Amino acid sequence: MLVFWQQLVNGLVTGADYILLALGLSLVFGVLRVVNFAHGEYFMLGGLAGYVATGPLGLPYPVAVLIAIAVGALAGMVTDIAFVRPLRGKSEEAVFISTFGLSFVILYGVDLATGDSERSVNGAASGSLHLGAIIIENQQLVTVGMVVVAVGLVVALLRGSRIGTQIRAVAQDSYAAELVGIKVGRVFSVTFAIGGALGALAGVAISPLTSVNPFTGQTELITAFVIVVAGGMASMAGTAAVALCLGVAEAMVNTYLPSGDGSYTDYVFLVLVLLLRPNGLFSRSRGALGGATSVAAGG
Amino acid sequence: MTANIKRIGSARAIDRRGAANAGVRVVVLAVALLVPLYAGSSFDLQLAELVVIYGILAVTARFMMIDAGLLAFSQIGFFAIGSYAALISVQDTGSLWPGFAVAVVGSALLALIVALLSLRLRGFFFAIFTLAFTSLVGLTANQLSFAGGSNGVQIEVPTMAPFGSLGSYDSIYWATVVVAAVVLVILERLGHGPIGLVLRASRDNEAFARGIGLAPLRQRTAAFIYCSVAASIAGVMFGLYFEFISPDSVSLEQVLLVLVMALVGGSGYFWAPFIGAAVFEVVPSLVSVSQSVIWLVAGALMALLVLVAPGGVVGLLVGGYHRLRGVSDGRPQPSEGPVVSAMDEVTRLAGPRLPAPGSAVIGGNGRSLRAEDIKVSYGGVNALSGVSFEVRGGGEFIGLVGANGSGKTTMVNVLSGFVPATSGRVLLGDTDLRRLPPERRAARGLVRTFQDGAAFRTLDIPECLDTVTVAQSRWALLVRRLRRDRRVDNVPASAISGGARQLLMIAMALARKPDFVILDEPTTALGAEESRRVIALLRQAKASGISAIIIEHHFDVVTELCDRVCVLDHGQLLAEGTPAEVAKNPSVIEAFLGTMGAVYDVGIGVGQRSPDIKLSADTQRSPDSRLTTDGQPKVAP
Repeated sequence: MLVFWQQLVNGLVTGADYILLALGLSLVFGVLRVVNFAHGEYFMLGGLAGYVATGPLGLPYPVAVLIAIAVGALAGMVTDIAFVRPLRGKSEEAVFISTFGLSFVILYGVDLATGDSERSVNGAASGSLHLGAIIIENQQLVTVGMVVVAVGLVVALLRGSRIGTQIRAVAQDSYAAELVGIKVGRVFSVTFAIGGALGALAGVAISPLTSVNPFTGQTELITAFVIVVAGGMASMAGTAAVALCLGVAEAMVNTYLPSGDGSYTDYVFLVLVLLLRPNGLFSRSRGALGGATSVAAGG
Repeated sequence: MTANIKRIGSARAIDRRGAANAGVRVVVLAVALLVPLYAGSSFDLQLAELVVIYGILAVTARFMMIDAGLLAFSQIGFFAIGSYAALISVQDTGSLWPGFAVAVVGSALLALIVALLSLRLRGFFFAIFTLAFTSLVGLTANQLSFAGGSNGVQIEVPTMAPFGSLGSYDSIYWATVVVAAVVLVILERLGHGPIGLVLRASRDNEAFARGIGLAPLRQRTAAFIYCSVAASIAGVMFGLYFEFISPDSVSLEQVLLVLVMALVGGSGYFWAPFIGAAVFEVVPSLVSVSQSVIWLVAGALMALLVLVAPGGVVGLLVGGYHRLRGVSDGRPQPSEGPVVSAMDEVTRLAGPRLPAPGSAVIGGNGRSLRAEDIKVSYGGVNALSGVSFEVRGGGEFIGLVGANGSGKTTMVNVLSGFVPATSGRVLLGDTDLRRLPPERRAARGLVRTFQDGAAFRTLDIPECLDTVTVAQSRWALLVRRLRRDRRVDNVPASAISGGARQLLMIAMALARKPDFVILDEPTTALGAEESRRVIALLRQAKASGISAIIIEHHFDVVTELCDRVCVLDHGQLLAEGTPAEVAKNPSVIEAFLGTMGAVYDVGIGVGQRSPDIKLSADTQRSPDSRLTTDGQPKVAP
């Protein structure tokens, strides 16, 4: 039973981090109606920025986090301007292809620059907290704290700021938003920057607990897809619930199944969701984006 | 008139594309046949084998992506299944055939499952799901002990059946070439036949395709299964030749490789992916760079192809050739042909397919189309709050009018099955249509057209009309090649005028020989002459006993065509009656004019994008309700 509770804690921490990862993807989808296949690479870039900042540069972890956010935001904005904007009005497949290509440019660019090896990141806190026999590392608390703060900031931004209102307006109807004078192109870029920053933050937040290598982005991409699809595209509450479940499920599979591979849970989730609730488990609930959930026409 | 159509530039572009594609096909076959003769080493033949195998993967991937509009990341997954099946079968039974059977049947079943789970959803679900499928295959192969776990399967093939002593690399190469030729030529034929027509039509405009009764899901599933099995067979040949497969072969990098190969040759050409396969197999073997550099270049190329050169290598060659010859690049130039000629063309080609006036078959079979207390609410907002009306079969035309936002479009979406009603019933005769999707309603005699008449962008006029034939008979056209009219050039629907497109859409809907047709703003944005032709066609439909529901802002068109008019206002049926009655109805006038004492004409729904009904104030006094249709509210009498 002790193992169970310990794995529950670890799974919840991973799941919390997944919230950030998936939130970025779902935000971009909700506003631009674009599925970004390069999103996993923002996660990798975030972790890598954390390593470079805390390792070779010797900077403290909080600074590393800020650097990672900046790197992610920049990468997101570049994705929008160079790889998504020129394809507006073309088929959605065109954007899949260009961002899929981009993900390999980022991945192998980093691989060529730094080499393929596991690197560890020094977190903000060492030591741990003991709840009975369950050990909670202080860094785990820091990670969860970062998730809570970041999600709170994003919600506050969307609900309470000028650009947030514009983002929600564009999410509902970009044509109407343009008619009333919102600079839709700018809103798209800002949204992509936030999405990239969230992905990179997810990467740097979890990096002290795991390790960093150029290839983490590929698996994280599929995880993010599964969460967003299962949570109902662009539904924030659904995304959070599924992310936590998936984190816990992965931890349990890794622990309890012989030669268990946690990644399997992603696919089981995906198949179950497509079987049971094709529009997402939480498709009725409307997230912070004010019901950007898309409804496929017809039966 | 035909001569005028021939001047439209894109016709030449499509002819050239056909010629370029035929050229690529000849070159591919010639090279495939000649390579073994000139192969200096086993390494050369090995490269050729790889080019053919990846060619199969890339050609099928391109077909799915471009012709069927399906971005499938699953080719590598099925490829691995084929390789594993073949090698495990040879290893454990000494024979290839059990493995071959598993590769074909197993892949077909898996593809069917993937299609059932993800194809009826929107495009990105399919893309994501196929990507996950490929990752899952790799993950599973890693776990299975009989598949060698992370080591994969490695065996000696040359002694194996069915090739026996012929199991040399040469004979496997020839077998691969034959398999590739058979699989791909069949696919190319299918692409030119009814299946390809439905795939392209529904890729161009899925809603309209379903509106006239094409059910693309079936054809998409078939195309996906065929291409997946082809990938699996390519995997079998890979396994035989290279005698090795491991989970490392199932990576996203391989997925990328296949897609880049598919696009690099030129997305518009069936055989061009072989050029991509040759480039990506041969070039890396000639230069000494690390694998990472190759993936980096492949990724960059993939993005660049979509962003700047969708025509790929063949597109650039063809473009360059024609620039040298001083010919225009042949992009669609809609302004070149006179408007009327395309309309004449539609009339001429559609004529024989339209139901004859007074034909006995048509007449609604005594049925009527009834909407009973239809309510639709979008998250608390009531778009329709309890609307009922009836259209009698046999040629009754109902006009649906109202300001923008009054619920007209929602109403026809409910009738045609694109939007589910929150409550209420739609009855065709005695049949409740509630659970039927648009294409099944079309099969029962209820079709519809759309306002923004895009028809099927890339199909020409005869092809557009052929889609109706395909929608009508499921099997006849599978064998017979579609009738081609050689007298007209291939003018894609995107290159003809808006009026001709609207006329074409309506002609297609009518050629379906429905009992009821729903027309969404058939004359909006058309010129006077174009409107006249559309109205003439609708008159003909009425005479032949087809009933219609018409959303229309031009009240003169309504008066001319419709027996009765339903006026919607804020989701409710405000008035119903003959056009003359409705124009006089006090509540209609009050709702649309505000005050009864208006002394000048007011446009209903002032400031909307399209001109609305203009009720002149003197309708209250004069029985012959004068209605203006010029879209300009007269400010003072």
